[in-house]
Amino acid sequence: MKKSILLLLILAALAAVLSFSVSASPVSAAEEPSLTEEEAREELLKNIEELLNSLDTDALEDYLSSLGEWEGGSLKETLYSLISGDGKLDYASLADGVISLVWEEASALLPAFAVILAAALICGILNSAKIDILHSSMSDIITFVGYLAVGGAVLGSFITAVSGAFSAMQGMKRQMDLIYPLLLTLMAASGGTVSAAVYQPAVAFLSSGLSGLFLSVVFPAAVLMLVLSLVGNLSDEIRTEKLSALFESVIKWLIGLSCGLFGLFLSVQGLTAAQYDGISLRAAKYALSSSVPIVGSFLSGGVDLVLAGSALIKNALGSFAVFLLAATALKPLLLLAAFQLFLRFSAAATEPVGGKIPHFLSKAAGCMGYFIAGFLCIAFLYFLTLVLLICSSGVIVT
Amino acid sequence: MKEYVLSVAGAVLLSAVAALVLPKGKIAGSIRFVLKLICLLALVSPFFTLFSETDPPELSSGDGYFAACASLAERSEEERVARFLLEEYGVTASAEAECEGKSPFLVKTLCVTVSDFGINDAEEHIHIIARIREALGEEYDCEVTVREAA
Repeated sequence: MKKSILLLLILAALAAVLSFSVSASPVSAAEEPSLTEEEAREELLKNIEELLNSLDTDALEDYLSSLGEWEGGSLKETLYSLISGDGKLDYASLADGVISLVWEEASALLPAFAVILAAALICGILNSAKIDILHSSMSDIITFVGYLAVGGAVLGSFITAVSGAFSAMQGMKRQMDLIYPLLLTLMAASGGTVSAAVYQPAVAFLSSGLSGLFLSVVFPAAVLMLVLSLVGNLSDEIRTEKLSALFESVIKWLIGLSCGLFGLFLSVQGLTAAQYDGISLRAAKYALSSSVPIVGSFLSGGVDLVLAGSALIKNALGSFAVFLLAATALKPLLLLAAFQLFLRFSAAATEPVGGKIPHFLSKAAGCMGYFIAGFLCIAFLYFLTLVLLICSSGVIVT
Repeated sequence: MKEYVLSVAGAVLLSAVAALVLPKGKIAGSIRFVLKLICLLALVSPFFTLFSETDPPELSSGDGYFAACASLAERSEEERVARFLLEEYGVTASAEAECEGKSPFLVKTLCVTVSDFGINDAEEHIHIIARIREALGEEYDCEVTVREAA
């Protein structure tokens, strides 16, 4: 849980850095841009429009159309509005939307937890009546049935929450497959040839290798831990603690290695490659313009428009991808977090009545933590890659 | 995912109930062993998808976009060369540039056709052409052809 909070804080910090790095610099009202600057801006926007039209975004448009929630129209128009500064985010409605989403997800879990609390209460009452009124074996059977009822309710809600997270993971993987090629093409076109060559195997590994690993190993292992914690409390003869601990260890190692090693490697390699690209580009421009200092800057500017246009389109597409990631990951993440919170709340609420149910609910909440951590790990690595792809242009162009 | 969870839960619960219900004995032990194997297979089934051969995602080369960038760079350089020659030498000329197909889209060849020498005399044409060729050659560091329009 602490690791989940730490990851969330890191995400928020990076989002703040990203918002500063991609925000357009404001134009002071007191300084009107000169005619030459205005003409240059119009020429740049015209070039950007032409470059946007030549960019193959059909696959990404088809994916967006398949999303029921997408009402943004044409992707290229959206990117153009982001670049020209016409696109604005309505933060007030965004906050309202998030709050209503949280309430919606929490409300969907209430019936299941009403069942859990009711069953736990009945089992607790029957346990206290075991000696006085009911036969011992009858009481055990009723407790067993009550435990299974709680387990069934938890599994039902668990399947809903996990299915949403699974779909979101597959959605993120699909987005990586669609957006990374575009970003790498734009990066190469904006002068980051070496950076694109460095990032290409890394993003391919992230989208196919790591995502597949999490979908095939981490998530199923977390499911196993939940099932084992359910079964382990069925009878004293059935022991599943060691097996559960094994899967817990596997999950921790995979998440730790993925986030730590891959994130570090990507950051260091990417930024050093961007530095090399920046130096190479400046050396090429200096070689062009050094012989005729006055003329050089005039003549060699034609290519700069192409490089700058590609860099701007890349940044806009990267920003759009970040918003798309947030929209994809937010709902299932909130559902998982709400489910974990309710499990802990139920464990605390049923603890006074005793029995195996509070222990099972507490273990289930722990399993949800691993789900959330695995989900956040992939989302964080995807977000980190997007930020590096966007920010590397700043190193190259300056 | 839903199918996986239900199959695992079903298999594990069935084996747990069987372990509780079956009487002690050799046959019961064999049945429990088989049930445990079934549970194990159900548990590890998604791990096999990790080793199944899947095609890696195709990262498109972006040739179409690079071609568009090169075309745009060529047009931009041609306009700038024409403007430069008018302002610097007072001649009206058109340029044909060919840029590289990849970043940073440097100019590979440049062909300038001077259609009007302005106020310059006919004897000056050849000198102006030489100066233009030299200046553009130094600037772009590429093959530059300058000719007079017929």
